[in-house]
Amino acid sequence: MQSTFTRLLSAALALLAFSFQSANAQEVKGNPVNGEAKIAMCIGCHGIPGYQASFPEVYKVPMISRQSAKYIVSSLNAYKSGERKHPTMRSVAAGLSDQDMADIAAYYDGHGPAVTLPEQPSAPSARVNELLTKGACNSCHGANFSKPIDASYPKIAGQNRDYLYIALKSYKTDGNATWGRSNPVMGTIAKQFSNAELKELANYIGRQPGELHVVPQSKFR
Amino acid sequence: MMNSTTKTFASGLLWAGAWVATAAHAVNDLPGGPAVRQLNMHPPATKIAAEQHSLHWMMMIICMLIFVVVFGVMFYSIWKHRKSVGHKPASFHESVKVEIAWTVVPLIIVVIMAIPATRAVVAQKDTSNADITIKATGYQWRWGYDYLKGEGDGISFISSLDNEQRVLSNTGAKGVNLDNYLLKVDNPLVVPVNKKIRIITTSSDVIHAFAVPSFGIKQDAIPGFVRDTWFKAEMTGDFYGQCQELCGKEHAYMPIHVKVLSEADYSAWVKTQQTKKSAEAQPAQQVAQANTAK
Repeated sequence: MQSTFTRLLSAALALLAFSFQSANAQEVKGNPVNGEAKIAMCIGCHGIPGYQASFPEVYKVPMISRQSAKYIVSSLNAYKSGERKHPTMRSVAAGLSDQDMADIAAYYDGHGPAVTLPEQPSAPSARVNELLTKGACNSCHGANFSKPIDASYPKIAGQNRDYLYIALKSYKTDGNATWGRSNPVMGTIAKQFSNAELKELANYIGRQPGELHVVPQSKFR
Repeated sequence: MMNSTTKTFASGLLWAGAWVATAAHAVNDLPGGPAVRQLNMHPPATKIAAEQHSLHWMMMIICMLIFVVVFGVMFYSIWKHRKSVGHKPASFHESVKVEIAWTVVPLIIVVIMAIPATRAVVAQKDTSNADITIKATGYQWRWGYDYLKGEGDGISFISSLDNEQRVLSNTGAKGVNLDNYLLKVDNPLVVPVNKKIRIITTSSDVIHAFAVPSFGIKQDAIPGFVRDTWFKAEMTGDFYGQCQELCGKEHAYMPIHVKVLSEADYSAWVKTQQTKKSAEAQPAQQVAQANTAK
């Protein structure tokens, strides 16, 4: 009886170890040089300063140069799987393999000038401070909103304010066929706030100095 | 002096010769797509497109006739009744007869042109009783196809330009001769021959336009709106088009490739697509079942 149990246990452990291994094996290394050949669809919007998307309302598309690679991969996968709903981004992500995503992410990770940021953001107003504490934004996105505790979380300092607002709002959206984000963590956080409060948060975070850029293509080739 | 001129001339000739030589084994015509030095419209693959052709020629001939008659009379009169041979201008004012004539004659011509044109436009817009209905969604910058009704309903895929060709175009594709340059897609739209296909167009971001010249169709794809058009291909083969409404930076890189198959081939294609789809859906179902079992 004892031996059967140990055998079962060891088999289970072996299986577990195997599954971890395969999970590690799935991680693909991105190559920024290869990535450069695959970004045609990205720069059409994200490479044009001030470019605005019109769905579901008008807002500036997020800046992605210098965004962390792991976050770019995870967000592309979220668009592909439908966790994040956005028809155009889904159509872009659906055509990308894991290798493509890793290459593109590696390219944008090191794209644009590097900036040294202050450790602490500018002091928020009392009201915004209250909201920030309630949402505990800095516990994941970092004290200056540009040093996330995990690379799969985005840098948000200095991101376009209207985009931040739309993104936060979309975490509150459930059951819409073409719009919404179903991230459980961000969902519970965003749902605590009214839209007006989300806007205040977005405006504050968007005004902080950040690493993110839009790097346009050269006009001459 | 003379020598240098001949030299320039000779080198010019050489250049011209080289150009002709490269042009000779350059790109070939793409059946169903653009032809080399194409002047006329694409060879029609549907009745509508054939009708458009004949209308085009009819209008062209009418215009040519009017041009020749009007300018013929004008130049003849100018030459024949010139002042230097002693002609004096007529000095009449307001002729009701002439005014009625130059109003009625063009009106008759316009009506003659409008009758067949109206018939064709009405036929183009008649999307009723379609065998297969497909929704074409414009994205920045690719097309998505959803088979909504008829054989193959439920199939849906996204069709995007081959990335290799996109990369080639960064350098102007110099020295590369591809017949289907910037027209090669990963998943062409597949339809059966001799069936009425209704295409519903819409968009997820900006205005695009779904157009296939060989079928004589072009319909704007507008976000938040639904428009439709139809075609009934009368021959199998590959037909190409492009987005025809400026839609952003990569507008030139969202081609349309329609593959027209015989009915049997189409049924076979539908079967493979559906088995592929159920194979993809099955693991998800198993996961869902496992989750509910927990």
